[in-house]
Amino acid sequence: MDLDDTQTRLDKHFRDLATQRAGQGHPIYALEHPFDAAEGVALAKALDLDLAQRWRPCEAHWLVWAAGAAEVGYRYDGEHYWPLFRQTFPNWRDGNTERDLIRSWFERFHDEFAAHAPKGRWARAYPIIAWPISHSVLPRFLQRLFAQHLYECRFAIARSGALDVEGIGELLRDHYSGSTGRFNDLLQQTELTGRLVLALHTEGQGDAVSPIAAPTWARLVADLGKHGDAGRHLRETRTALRQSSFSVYAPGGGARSSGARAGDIQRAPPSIKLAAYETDESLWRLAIAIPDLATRLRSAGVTRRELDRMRVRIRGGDGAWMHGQTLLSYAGDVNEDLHHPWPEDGQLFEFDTPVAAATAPIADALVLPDKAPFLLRVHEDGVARQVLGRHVRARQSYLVVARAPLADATVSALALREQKSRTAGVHLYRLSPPSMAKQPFIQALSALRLGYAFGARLLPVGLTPRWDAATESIVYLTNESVTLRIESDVAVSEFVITLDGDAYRAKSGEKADLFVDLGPLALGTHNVQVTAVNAAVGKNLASDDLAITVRAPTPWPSAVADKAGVRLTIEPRGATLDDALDERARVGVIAPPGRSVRLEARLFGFHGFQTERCDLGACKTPVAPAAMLSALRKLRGDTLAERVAGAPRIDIAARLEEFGTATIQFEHPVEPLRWSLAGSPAARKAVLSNDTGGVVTVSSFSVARPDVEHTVPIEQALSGVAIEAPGVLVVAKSDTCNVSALIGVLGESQGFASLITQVDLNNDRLGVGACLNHYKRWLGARLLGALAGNRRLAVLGAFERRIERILCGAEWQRLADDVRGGERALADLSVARPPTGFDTAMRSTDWRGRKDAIAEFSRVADRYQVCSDAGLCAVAFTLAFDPGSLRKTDLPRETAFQDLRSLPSLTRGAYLAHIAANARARQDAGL
Amino acid sequence: MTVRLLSASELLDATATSLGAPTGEALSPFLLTQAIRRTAFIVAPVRRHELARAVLRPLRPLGDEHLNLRIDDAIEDLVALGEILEMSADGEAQNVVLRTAPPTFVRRADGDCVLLGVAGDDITPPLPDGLALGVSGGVRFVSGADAPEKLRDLGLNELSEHEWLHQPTSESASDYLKGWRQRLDAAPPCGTIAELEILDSARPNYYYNGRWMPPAKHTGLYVARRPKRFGADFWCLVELAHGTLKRFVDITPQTPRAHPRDEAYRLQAALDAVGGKPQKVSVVSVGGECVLGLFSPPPSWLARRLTLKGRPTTSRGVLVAYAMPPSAAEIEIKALSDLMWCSRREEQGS
Repeated sequence: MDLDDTQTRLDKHFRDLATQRAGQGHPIYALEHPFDAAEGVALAKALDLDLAQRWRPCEAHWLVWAAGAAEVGYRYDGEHYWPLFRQTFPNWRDGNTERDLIRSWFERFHDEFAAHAPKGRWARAYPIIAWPISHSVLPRFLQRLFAQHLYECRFAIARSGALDVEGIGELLRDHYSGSTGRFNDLLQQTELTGRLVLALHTEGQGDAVSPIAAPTWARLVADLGKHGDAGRHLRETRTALRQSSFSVYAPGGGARSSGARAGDIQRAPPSIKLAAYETDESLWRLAIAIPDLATRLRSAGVTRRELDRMRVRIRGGDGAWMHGQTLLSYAGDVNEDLHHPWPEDGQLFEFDTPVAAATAPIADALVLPDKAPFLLRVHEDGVARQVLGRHVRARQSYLVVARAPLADATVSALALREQKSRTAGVHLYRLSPPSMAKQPFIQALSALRLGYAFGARLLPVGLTPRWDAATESIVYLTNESVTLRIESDVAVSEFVITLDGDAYRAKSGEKADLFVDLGPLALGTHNVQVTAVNAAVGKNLASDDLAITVRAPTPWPSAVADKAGVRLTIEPRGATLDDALDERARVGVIAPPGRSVRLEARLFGFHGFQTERCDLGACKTPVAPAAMLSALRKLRGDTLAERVAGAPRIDIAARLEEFGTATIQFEHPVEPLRWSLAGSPAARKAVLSNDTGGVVTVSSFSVARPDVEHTVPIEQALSGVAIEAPGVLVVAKSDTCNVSALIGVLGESQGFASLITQVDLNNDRLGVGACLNHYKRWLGARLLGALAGNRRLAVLGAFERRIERILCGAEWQRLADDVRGGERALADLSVARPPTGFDTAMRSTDWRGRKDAIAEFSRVADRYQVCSDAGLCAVAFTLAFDPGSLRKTDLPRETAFQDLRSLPSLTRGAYLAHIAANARARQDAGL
Repeated sequence: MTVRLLSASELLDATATSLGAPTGEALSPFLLTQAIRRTAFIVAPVRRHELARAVLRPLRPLGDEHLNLRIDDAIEDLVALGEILEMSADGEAQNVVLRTAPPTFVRRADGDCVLLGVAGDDITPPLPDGLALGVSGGVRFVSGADAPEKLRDLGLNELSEHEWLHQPTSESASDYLKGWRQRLDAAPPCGTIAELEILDSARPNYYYNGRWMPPAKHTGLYVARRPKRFGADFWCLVELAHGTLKRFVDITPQTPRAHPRDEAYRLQAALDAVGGKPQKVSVVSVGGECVLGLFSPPPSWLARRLTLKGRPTTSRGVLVAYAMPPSAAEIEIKALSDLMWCSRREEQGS
């Protein structure tokens, strides 16, 4: 392939394309070259051959290089661009100069041909590769994600009506809540993604200029089809766009199609209305449904600053003043409870320093229409909403709301049932009109300024209605049948059903009720009216109106995020709280992503009542296991550990913002014998609680002399054992329990000095077995107080050193201390003189984290004829590495410790291995 | 736009189509559960009776006089399955409201995934190509290659089967009894309890009702019921020596949704297994299906598990029976063996 010819051909091709799109304002992309796949391969080879000859890309072929770089961008996998580039062009010398050259040619392409220029955060962060990748239009690895996102946004785009290209791109960007970084980067290219939607919309429409060249678009669509459901997503998105009234404003071409949707109807702006919610049997909560004030304020150009100049409160509400900006939160879906009766004048909003510019646009919406007593109809969803028409109908249920009790005669005539109200000073009555009202009933209604009407009614049937308070309409989705039931109070000859002004007549059947299907309705609002025609009286009865809004389904991830609940899980089932804290079990949260879950522990007493709530912090969903563990481990902190230990039941609760709380319950076995901490930090006491009913013996050990046991009278233990510095281990034993607690306290020294604990073993003749018994007692004690951990380390260290001295000798221990302290090199420490291969093996083997460490130690000891008894080797190794884990059953014989004393080479080898492992760990940590 | 008059059956079909349920059927369990899922999402947070009422109103013209009971039962099932979550509205246990669970799936042993929760307006999340939605009763299954991975990619949470079914962990009968033995040993000695009834492990375990009797000369551990002044009798585990009560512990639920009888049934299964007479699961092949029969009542988690792949049926001589495909039956027989220590008994079928 001749590169000069190719350059000329590309120049002409791109110039033609640019001219063609000039009127539309669409840029061109390097991927829109005229080459097919075979030509593309040949082109890459030709460019690479040229590179091999010249060492640098040739400027005379700059357009060819742009096309080639865009091709690499198309195959880009989201990780590394330049390695892929080099793979395509093996003779490429990957230097900054060469990379800059590629960028400069794309910039030239942009300048000379009005080609696309990348923008957004990503383009700023990756100023070079942003060019070839964005010129590849839609890299293969993003195609599936893009198709899926487009599919999820299809109705949002369709619903948007008319947008410009960038507006569509912004919509796509704003609707993405996922975490795929590269896809986020693509969505930053709002013009590009908007054009892809436009290309999809105009595909196959001969008269439209596509923003993407037809062969390039066909290639993209074909590749998308290879990604499983991506092709289907694309097709369904296209169908949704074409079925809707969606149109795109091209920057230079004006709007190609628009117009009001057939279904849209004009409705009077709603005003405040009373509403009532039945919270319990015959107990109602009275509220006001506030209309959409935010839209009105914004439309009137009211600024936040103007709103900030006044405060507002609801008369009849809780009396609290709110910032003026609160008005912007009323978007038609907010109800405010009424704690007191509404004001006589109906003015429900009060301003401290009213700003006319801000209050005027909403003045009429802030007044309660009508006068008391109010009539509220109980709707299908159980909520009672104010009826402005003041006419009651048979077979409906109503609430009459008054400030004063109604006259007994009225109550009797209307068969009113008094209801309870949470709002003080308000009287509520339930009214169920008879199917055929008589004169006294109608007169009683009239006394309340209410009328009685016969007629037909429209009721949702089949599907539970979604009520939208903002539009006062029932909402259906595009994929739901709008099915209604028509019922009449009296026998009728026919019904007249009017849908958006078109009338249909339906003969009434034998039964009074009719079911109708309104068919698929277009997106938007619709009005249905039914009128019953009564042949007997020869006139129409009262009609019923129903507003219907049809909208597209909300993509499920965002819909769920707004509504779904939270579940706490524990795996495996039946695990205890300690299991969860020790990572033997996992507490998980299943909740919509992107929400905040506040975790808390609820402690219960023996009486079964909650005694305390402890906040464990908040986590964002999805909650990572580590975050959950970290929150739960607060239960082991100094401030909570004791109270948790003493609680027979602990609930872990996850509160999902205002959505509610999920809990899991842990029965917590409380030991019948337990220690707790009492007293001030200056005068700490360990108090014993004894619920055993049996004989209990108590003893204590000082941290300073941890091998000396002191008997403590039980009475003293029950009233509290005083803790002297640096700390005390208290032990209580009964027939069935053995509990110990270690409490550390500050001495007279302050600051860091208080952390240094002097520990002396009193008994010089303490053997390995006795040391281990003490060691395990201190190791198993529950830590109480801030310094307990520090004190335990000091005591355990003292016993470890004693064991080492017994097994390895005092002289060898001194040398080992020098090595540990860095005064000697590890190589200076050997098991015996002269050193053998055993020493080398101990030093050079990495013993850390090896499951077969003991077996390996035994093997090496046997190989160098240090010891052939694998059982003894295991004991020596365990004593050096983790003496607390040694059990009696691990000893090969009763005399094992004495036998070890006669094998200093083996024990020194084990300790040498331990010292080497620690040195390695320090080295890895950079210490 | 046209207005079309509908008959009741056409209305039912239109409703089924809107809910993604099969048409041409009566008010099926699946249609009912779909209606509840949809309604629960719309009206949440909601109290249980309000949800039942909201579902009942539009469906009343399509159902019979028992529709309200069916709705109540279906809501209970959806709560038990974890499709609808009970959440305390203000942190107080008494003030419980319902919310739909976020879309979640449970991987089953046969590779299928059970779909739980409500995906907003969609009810069931749109599935990727290659996955098929199946229905058993009111429960939704997804099958297809790599179903769990694809569902996870789709953004669904995964829940373990154990956690979902509130199913106990697998352990040996003796280990399971050991825990109860310890609890019993820790209980104080007690005197006699009037009207105590025990499940006699020595009696044949293929006739459940015939195993209940007052203590006579019995010695050992027994599942028992002791009378309660008001309400259902307590379930308990008792230790008897020659018919004399030594100790007892009440069987209390381990989780808020569990029932003491579930634990009691499992305890009896463990006692039978340790006593060398494990409970039996009868396996009968009938017309290409496998009918699993149990001779003792199953715990609720087990019944829920068996109804996922099977349908309740009757079979001669057994207390409860479930018919299911043979492949599913093998998995359930293994679960019965692992969790209830049952042994298999092949029967002649047709």
